[in-house]
Amino acid sequence: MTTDARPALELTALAASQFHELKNQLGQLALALDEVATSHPDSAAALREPRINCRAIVERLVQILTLYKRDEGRLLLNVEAHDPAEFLTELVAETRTLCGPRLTIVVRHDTAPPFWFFDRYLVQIALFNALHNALKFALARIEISAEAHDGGLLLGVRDDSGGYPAHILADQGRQPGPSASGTGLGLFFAHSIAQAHENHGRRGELRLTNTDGACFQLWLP
Amino acid sequence: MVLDIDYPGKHVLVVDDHPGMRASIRATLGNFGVVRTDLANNAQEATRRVRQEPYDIIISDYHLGEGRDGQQLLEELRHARLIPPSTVFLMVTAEAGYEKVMTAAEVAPDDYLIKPFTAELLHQRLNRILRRKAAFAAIHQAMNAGKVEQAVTLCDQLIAEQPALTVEAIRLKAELLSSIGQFEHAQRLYEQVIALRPLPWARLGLAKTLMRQGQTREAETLLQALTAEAPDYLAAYDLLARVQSLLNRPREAQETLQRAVRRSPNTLPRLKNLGEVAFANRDYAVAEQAYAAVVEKGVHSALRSPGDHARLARAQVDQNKLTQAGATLKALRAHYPNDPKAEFAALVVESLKETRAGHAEAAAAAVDKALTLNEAHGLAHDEAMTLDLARACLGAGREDQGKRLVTTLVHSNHEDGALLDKARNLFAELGRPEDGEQLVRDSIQAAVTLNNRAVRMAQQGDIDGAVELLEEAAGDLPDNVLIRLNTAHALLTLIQQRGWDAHLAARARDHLNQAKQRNAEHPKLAKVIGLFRDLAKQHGVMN
Repeated sequence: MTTDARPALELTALAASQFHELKNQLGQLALALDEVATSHPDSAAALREPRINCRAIVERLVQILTLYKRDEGRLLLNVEAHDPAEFLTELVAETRTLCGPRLTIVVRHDTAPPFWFFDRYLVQIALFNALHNALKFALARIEISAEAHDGGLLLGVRDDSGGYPAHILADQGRQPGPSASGTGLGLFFAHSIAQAHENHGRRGELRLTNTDGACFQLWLP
Repeated sequence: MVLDIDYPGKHVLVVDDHPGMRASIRATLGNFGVVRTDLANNAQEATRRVRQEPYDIIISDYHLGEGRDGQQLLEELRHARLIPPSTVFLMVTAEAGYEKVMTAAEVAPDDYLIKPFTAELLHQRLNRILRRKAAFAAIHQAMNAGKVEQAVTLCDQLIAEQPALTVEAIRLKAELLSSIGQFEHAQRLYEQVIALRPLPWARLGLAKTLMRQGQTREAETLLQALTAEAPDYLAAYDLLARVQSLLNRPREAQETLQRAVRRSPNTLPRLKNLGEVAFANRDYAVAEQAYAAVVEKGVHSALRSPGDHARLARAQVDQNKLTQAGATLKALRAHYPNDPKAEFAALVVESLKETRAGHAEAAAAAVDKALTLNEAHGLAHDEAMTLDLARACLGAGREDQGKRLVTTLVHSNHEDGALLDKARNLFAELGRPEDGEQLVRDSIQAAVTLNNRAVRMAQQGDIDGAVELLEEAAGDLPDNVLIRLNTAHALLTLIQQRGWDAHLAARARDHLNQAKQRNAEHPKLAKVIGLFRDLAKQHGVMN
């Protein structure tokens, strides 16, 4: 992973360990909410928002801690071969439990390679973040895809919203950016994780476009 | 592939030191149909439960508070064969240390889950592992039945049918090929994976196949690079230390192991290995540290044995810490009461201690009791134990018994340079280096003479005579691996000349098994096994 000369985040070790604790406690709260939603189906609708929010916070904390680790030079990728179709199946199952009947989720992986090499955990966090944004802004439809592209794997999340605002398109996730919604941090995380994937001299990329809505793509060499 | 998974039929064990977490995992499992979930709050309790009843799925946290962690639990369960390959082991870990979990050892969990996770993710992950187990079931079955070649064929089939599992199947196939001595083929597979991506396990596998083909220096270069680039991949240090020992650089081997222990201080097999390497280097302080850690961390572990206490006491005796040694022996006897193996180990070191203290009579009394126990139970079965018993004998004036033990050991493997060095050292430390030289020379001579006579006979075409002589030699020196292998080779040559003979084949197989048990890595073993297979195939005999 490239370590920039200047750290992306100003964070002390004490703050990091506090964040770590908070993240674990929230994680357990999220698991408890999942359990209630499943065992009491009548309360599932009311719990949807709190569950999404709770997870979004957990994920932001995970992103912050991961980026902190990167700044400290301690982030090591755990690259293994994974089945992109299976990877998407996990992601979609997870998303379906949150979105309810409001949205249609379309999955495409017919042109995906049978396996590809990446850090499943980190890429999953990057995509979860994109999915949570999509859940927030999509009108009726989210499309999740995996395909072979340019000698690599292209993972995509696309919604039918009005698309990304201009400043995000201009920046392409290159700055952590101050943003109340956490979008800026999430995109910076995705950009960093893509960059950390390297193969035969090529690095991964985050590609943000407005193609019939907001289109988030992660290309992994 | 969609597969109905029978969760109500699964028996699950959840291991976590945090009661809230245990309860919420159990509740989550209940939501997708698991009805039988047991809980354990540490590794010791988990081991006890697994001994009592079989589990289909074990979900364990990496951190289990005081005592052993999840990785050690997994290693123990797999090493001691407390769980079959079909049992699923899912490791749960905090994101903070997950690289360590992934790369801790060669014994890997089936999959891992990073905290915090959602109920759905746990469900999906279990589905994934169970689908995978089902895909590999036929291969595992063939492996359990000892049908390695069939398992290899099944790996190829799996790759053709489920290309998504290609890399995993190649990995297993390479391991299978290595296990039957087809190192070149295994090497090509590892190189194929590395060409796609230089994954640490593939680099380690490549180094191992090179080592097994005698390309020790090439293996060392690869492993040096691997430990530098993936410093948390600890299995690489273990292999590097072995390679350095083979290259006759025991000091470097010790340093390599010490580096690994600093990164991960709890792995018992590595600590024991460090202890032995330190003994060979006569670095008794490090040997003591290593075995003290084994004794302390191995409480309630199936991987700890009475021998470990004995090695600790031995390291203390060697540093003249006789009071501590006495305390260690007392602890040994207290931990393993009424265990002849433990008593034997204690008596041997006790005798060494008394010799050091100048108590000749006490030393002789202890070693005599040890010899009696050994005669009754055959306890001195490993090299270190035998050498220690011999040392005690020689120290306490039991000259004949001591020499006989060393002679038998040298006969068993007269080509093992490290063993010969240890035998010579033993006498050197007693101030009698010439006696050691002489005994080793004579013992090698006996084995070599017998072997050479037989080989000459075979070369002159008298295969029958060679077989007869070799089988007699194998009777006299039953532990000698080279003689076993040459006997098998000669028997197979008879089959080559006269056609298949089930009786000859059975004898050859027996010698091969005996050789494999004693030294599965003998350079000639793979060749003779290969010849056996080829002949069996030629004559249409399945094996």
